[in-house]
Amino acid sequence: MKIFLSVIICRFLSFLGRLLKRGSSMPGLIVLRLFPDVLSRLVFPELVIAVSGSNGKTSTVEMLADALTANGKKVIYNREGSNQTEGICTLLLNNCTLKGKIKADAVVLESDERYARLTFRHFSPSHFVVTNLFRDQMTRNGHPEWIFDLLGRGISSAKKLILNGDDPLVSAYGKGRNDVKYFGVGRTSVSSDTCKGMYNDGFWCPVCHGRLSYDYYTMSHVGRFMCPSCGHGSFDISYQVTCIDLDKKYIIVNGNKTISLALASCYNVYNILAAYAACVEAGGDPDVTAKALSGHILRNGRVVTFKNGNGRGMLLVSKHENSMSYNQSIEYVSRQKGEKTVLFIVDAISRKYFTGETSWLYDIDFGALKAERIILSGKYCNDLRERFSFTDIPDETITVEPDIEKAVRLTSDGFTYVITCFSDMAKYLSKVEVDK
Amino acid sequence: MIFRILHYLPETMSLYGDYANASALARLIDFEGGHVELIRSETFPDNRFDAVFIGSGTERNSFYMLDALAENRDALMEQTASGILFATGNSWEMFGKTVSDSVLGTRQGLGFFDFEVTRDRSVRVVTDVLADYSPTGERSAGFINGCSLTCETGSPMFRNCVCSGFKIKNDGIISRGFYGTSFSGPVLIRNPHVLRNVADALYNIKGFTPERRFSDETQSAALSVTLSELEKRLKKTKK
Repeated sequence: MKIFLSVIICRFLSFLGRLLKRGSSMPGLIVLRLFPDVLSRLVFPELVIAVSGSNGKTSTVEMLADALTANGKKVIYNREGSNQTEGICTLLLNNCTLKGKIKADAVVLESDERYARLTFRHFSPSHFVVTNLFRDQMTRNGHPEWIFDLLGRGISSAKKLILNGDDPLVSAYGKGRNDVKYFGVGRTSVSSDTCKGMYNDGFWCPVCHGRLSYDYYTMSHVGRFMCPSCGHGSFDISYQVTCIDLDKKYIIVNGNKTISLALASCYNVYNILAAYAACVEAGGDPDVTAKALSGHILRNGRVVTFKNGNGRGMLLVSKHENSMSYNQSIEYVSRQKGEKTVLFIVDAISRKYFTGETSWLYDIDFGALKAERIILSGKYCNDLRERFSFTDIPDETITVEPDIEKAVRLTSDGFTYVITCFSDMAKYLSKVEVDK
Repeated sequence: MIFRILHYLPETMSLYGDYANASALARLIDFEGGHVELIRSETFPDNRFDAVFIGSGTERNSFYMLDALAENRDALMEQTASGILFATGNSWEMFGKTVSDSVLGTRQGLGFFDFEVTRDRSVRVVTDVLADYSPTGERSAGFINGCSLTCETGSPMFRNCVCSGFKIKNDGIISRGFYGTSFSGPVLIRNPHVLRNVADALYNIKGFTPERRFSDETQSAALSVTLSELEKRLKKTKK
């Protein structure tokens, strides 16, 4: 009876929510207040794949869902990104029978790092994918080690872990467990002998606090590492990117599966690899999976192309308070040929909470940006300008324009890359013609 | 005149862009006619420094750091007598009597000051803060991100703190050349008046007369926006 009522209430509230254009968490929140144990009463399919980590969750989930679908599975996933317990509850109750049986062969769930421990006390995933643990929303998340401890409580019940073996912190979850598969990137054209960026979070071993040594770095402190003191890092990488060509836009996995890239960035490579590993571990055929992921264009709105007057451009959603996200956008933009303007907008630091904290700007490697013209806009444009004053980028390259509408007009010629967050993207995109 | 600045433990204790405090002071002194040598090192060099900076770290790293600090206790003590030691985030907590962490246990601090720190790892203190910088009374902006509420020290660096969700009246300490605050990140950049005050204190110690004065109008404008936004927000919270 509890299940029956939960399903009815959830669907009714979801219907109302759609009419009122409200988010998808509210129905789940109300149902969980009424029936706190409802999630533990559902009947799940064999495949319940959770995906968590600081960056790349939404993209990985979307690609994994598509790859599983290509392998003949009926899949449900939280495509709206409602990744806390309430949002997940809404998704599940809207996709089950009145008796609580999930109507899918596979459930793919993006899970907030801090909420995984709350969501997965009700049911256990068959697979748990952890993409990475980076500095992210420090105003909410503290620091990566803090999140490591919280997420650790959420993944412990998963039957199999699929971990980024190049991330010293994430791979530490595999310590003492046998049911673990690691994915990583081999030495390729993007490898570096030094840790690029403004900080090195791979300095100390998260297991024994010895000094880590690296064969190479792929992206910030993510790379092939080893702890000489305790041996952390000495596991086998089951899913490895063996070749990356960002100019020709393809990668090769395990020496023989070629996957073309719609968005040529290291960041995207790790997301694709995580989705590939999870799909194959879930029984997907490697060829079918590689084909499904090949040239995958994300539908989650993280990359938007547009026309603005005589100009064209691309908006790269880059999370404020997340230096890795910004660094990847800066790296991507700098690699693009031709004359370009780059517009940074920091107006509302978060869409979920208020903060005036801008220290995170100092973790971003703005000095690596290569662009003919840089425009800084939004309420916090002076903080951005101050940050740029600590780089070698010439002053004459930089324009400060607090008013976003005026910044839109300043970018109506040539090609512009806009780097900003969910909280600010609509302020620009509402003034230009977005490509369908 | 040569100014030697050390950013100590830049890898272990630099979570929130704290590294930029040393950069800001170096830039200011350079502009005003001093010759700056800025060193970033995980080990404490034997040489004498005019200013030493230490930033925030994870709770584990800050405990490991205690060993390194203890090894150099005398040099650090001498630093507060003859120069400046500027500690942000949770690093200043190490200079009290003890640090009790609900997960890692209790460790002896360096004992420079009498305060005791208790970290409750089930709660994270995360808040924007408005406060008055004690030496000048100027309104300042900061951010606290840690596991302990600051204890009263008698000579706080920041007074009249206003924040959301936590009861913090004063924060940090200024004692001789020691400047400690729970505010994390580039405190000296976000608050140009604090940078000015610290630089002038250093000039006083060194007997240096600047050739010209550095004025950071961009950052002053940035601070003005931040203060105004925080004032609005914190008023709303009070209602």
